[in-house]
Amino acid sequence: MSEKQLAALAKELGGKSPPDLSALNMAEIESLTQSLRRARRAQQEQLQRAFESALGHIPMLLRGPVRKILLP
Amino acid sequence: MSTLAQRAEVLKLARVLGVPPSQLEYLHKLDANVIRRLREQASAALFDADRKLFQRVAAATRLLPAPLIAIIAEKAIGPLLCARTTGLLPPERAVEISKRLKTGFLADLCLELDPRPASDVIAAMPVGRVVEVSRELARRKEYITMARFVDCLDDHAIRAVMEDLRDDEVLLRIGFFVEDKQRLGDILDLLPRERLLNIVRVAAGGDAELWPEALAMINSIEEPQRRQMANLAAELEEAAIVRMIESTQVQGLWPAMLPVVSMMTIDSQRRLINLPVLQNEAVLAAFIQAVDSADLWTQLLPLVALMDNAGQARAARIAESQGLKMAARLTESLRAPAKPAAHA
Repeated sequence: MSEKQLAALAKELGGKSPPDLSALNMAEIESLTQSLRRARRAQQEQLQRAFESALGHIPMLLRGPVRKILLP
Repeated sequence: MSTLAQRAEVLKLARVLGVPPSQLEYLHKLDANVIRRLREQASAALFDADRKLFQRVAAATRLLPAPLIAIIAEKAIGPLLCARTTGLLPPERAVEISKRLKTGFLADLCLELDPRPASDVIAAMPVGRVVEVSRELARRKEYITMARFVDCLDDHAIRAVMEDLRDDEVLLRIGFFVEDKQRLGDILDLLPRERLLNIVRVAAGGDAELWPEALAMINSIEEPQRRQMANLAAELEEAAIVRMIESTQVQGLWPAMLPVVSMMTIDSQRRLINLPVLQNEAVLAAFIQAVDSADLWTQLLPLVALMDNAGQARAARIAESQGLKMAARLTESLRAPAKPAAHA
């Protein structure tokens, strides 16, 4: 397990050192890091889509103020 | 082979990451506590990455009436994002919105929710709503998720859920996944004696997975409840005890079963040890070997003194066939007065 790979994983964990993962090989650490990265991207995309879609359900009168909060 | 705790933790992490559990198969090499720590870090990191956006969703809910928020939640936001926003809402507002959400959607939301940051909201939920959602989760066999909520619900809500879930196997399977063993003990105290007895019966007579996990659960709880469960097991009708002993024998579970037997009263131990099923040569040999391997002579060999004469002779013969040292230990125990660890 290389320092570089652990640093990449720690970055995906919000800068926190992961627990003892010495039982995992490099490919597994890399796979875990990728899963975290994809989850973060998926969450951001979901949020953007949800904001746009939510506005479509809001009455015209309230759409402006809600848009200001969700998408400033 | 991975343990139930490891499988539960991998499933929870898979849900946080939005991947199938099979994609994280390699994590079974890690201890369950390590996977749990990893999941907690991943969950916190994903929340922190978009904290501001979640806070905006929570702020926007202040402008809109609850029925409209419920429609938007179900049609636009979805269970995952709702789950990550739940802990940011004032509990009374979250409850108001939840009343308008479909039970199926709330169950979906529970699968994604990390209960601890949302504990105030969960604690504020009306008991009736908790029961409805629990029923739906039980229908889906989402026992791991149900166990996660045990810490955040008060006794009143837990009792209502347990009264509603009439299937004791469901209760047992949820119990396997409760992390806080002290809380699990509290919950066992809420159950009527007849129901506890049936839970032990179900555990002993169920599929191959149930009994080893039930034994691990019994061995993990506090001593008073462990003693109670052990004596309930001894009270079962003979056919159920025979199934219990056969499961123990077939699955090589005597090392886990012996501490349970040691918790039984002398009368219960006498009944157990003299059952014909334990006089079977192969079963008695496995029992004696487990006592020897686990070094439980002082606690459990006095059981031999509770056997009838034929049983003692059989035990002596088996011990002799296992080697001189074991025979010597058995002989020594037979000379000693019967002092099992358990007391009535």
